[in-house]
Amino acid sequence: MTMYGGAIMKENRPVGKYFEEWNVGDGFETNGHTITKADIVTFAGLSGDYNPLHTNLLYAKQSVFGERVAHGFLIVAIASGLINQMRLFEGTTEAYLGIAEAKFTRGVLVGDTIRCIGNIAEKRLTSKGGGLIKLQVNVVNQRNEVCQTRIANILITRRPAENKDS
Amino acid sequence: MGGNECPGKYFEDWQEGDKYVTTGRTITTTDIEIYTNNMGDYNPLYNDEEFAKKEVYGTRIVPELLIHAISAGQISQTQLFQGTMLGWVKIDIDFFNSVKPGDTIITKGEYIGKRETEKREQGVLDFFVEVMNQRGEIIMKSNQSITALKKNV
Repeated sequence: MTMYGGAIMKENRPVGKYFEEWNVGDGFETNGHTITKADIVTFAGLSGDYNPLHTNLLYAKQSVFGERVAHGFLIVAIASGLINQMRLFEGTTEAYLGIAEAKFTRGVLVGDTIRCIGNIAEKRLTSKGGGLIKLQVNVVNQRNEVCQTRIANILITRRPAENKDS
Repeated sequence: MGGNECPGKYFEDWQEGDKYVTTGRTITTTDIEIYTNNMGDYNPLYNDEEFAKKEVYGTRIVPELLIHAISAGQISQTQLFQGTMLGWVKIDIDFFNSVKPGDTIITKGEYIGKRETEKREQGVLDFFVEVMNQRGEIIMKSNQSITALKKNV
């Protein structure tokens, strides 16, 4: 698995990788982010999701988590941010098509530090000639326990020289 | 109880044919900014109007994950899952159309079925969820499986 640490800094091209520049098996590991109470409060307010597991200390104490837990999709959003900050997809993401088989195996608590391990599981052309990439994303905590797994389906820009329309 | 004296529907309460519709929410550039700045989920399609103008959408679009988050918030605010939804089991999401600042989205859900788990006090509920804009266009479809608390254990 090839690991990429940075983005492509050349003139006249986007920073992110074109579809043709990815290989199945290519992967990366992101920086980490420590979850804070502010992250949970901000996400509850922004989304409107006030499930008491996230916002009510009395309720959360009785739950399986024992304390307020981060929203599953707060972690998905932060994970997406950690991946985007690697700039590997910057300017070359045409569309986020969806998420498949997302599983939430372990709660993330305040004080946990999460990071993502991603790898290209599949790449193929769509029927319209678009560059489809299936990115396997695993979110792990500071103990290297897997908290979330999913496949992100993303349409990536084709390199212009090989694009039939140009 | 301690903290959740007005709970939502329990595992046993969901019956075939049950559906819900949420209130609408108009999404703004403020929502985009709060999301991208606080989650760190930066993408020129969301944050750079000059870049986004030249792309197929013609303007900055609302991050797809933010649409799902707002939809989940709309579902939470129906109060049908208050204190009774214990977590996600599995979810698949397909995004069909972009949402632009100023659009209003609404979420519709349909109960599909339920299953037991090895834990006596909870079970799994399956829902099919759709998000639509003010023109009735489908923004997002999702199959969602959640764990729900049982009333009678």
